[in-house]
Amino acid sequence: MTLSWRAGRAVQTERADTIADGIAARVPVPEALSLMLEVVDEMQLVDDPKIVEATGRMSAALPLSIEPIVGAAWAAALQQPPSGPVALILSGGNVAST
Amino acid sequence: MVVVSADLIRSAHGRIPVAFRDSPQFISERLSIDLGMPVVVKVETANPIGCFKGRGTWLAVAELLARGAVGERRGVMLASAGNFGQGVAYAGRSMGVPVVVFAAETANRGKVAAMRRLGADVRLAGEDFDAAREVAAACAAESGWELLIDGADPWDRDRGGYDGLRADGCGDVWRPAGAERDLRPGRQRCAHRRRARLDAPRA
Repeated sequence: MTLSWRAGRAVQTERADTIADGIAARVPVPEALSLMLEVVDEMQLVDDPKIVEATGRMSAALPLSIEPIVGAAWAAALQQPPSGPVALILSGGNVAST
Repeated sequence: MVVVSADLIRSAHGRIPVAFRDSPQFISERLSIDLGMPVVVKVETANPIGCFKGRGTWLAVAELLARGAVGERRGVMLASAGNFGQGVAYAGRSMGVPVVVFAAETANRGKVAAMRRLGADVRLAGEDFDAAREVAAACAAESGWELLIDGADPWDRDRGGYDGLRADGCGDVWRPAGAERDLRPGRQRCAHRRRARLDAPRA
């Protein structure tokens, strides 16, 4: 999705290997992409080790279960801190393996 | 495309179950210290499905039901890594609409189990989410069930061809005149086509 957003059109990839299963998509949904082209100002990429580390830090900091997809957002904030106050959406906490 | 405006959200608020509304938010002291600036966390995990998907999925299924596109015998099909599927399953169970979810063979087992607990018929298909998406689209076209696409606006899709598909019962494979060409690639990929001829929903 980041590649698509940067290109301004749908870009498919061969693989989407990431621990953050909620954002592991090879093929962007066109409706989602066109909306994102309108409203998103910046996108960042983070790798799995950073996602794992950030997810762990959040899990220690909050009394809540944290999915890697949330850790990905936190990793991006840590990687390049924004200029002002941050709102972080804890979009998912389904980490149970059974 | 429907842009989700503040007005649209306000108008939808009353139609969403209380369990999914008014999610808490607060400043996290520890995260604020980590980042060196105030960090507000918006907690979308404190609800029956543990994620933010419950509102949109509820409205989508309610909308389909209100205009007669789905019912007891013709439900919805979708692909999900797990969270979207839990939202649709929750809504479908509440409204008496059967839900079939296609998940990747590699999908998180906990999420698959959670979707099944909510009554969804979960089928593992394809090596990743996008492969499962293709199977879901093919099986929906075959069966005439409604296809829900995570991230697409369910109120504003181009419905060309879909109304024709819905004109038939959910148990049959029916191909609208002129749509053969569009459906053919999907049919080739639908490994579940026989299973997609669905019986009445399970209790």
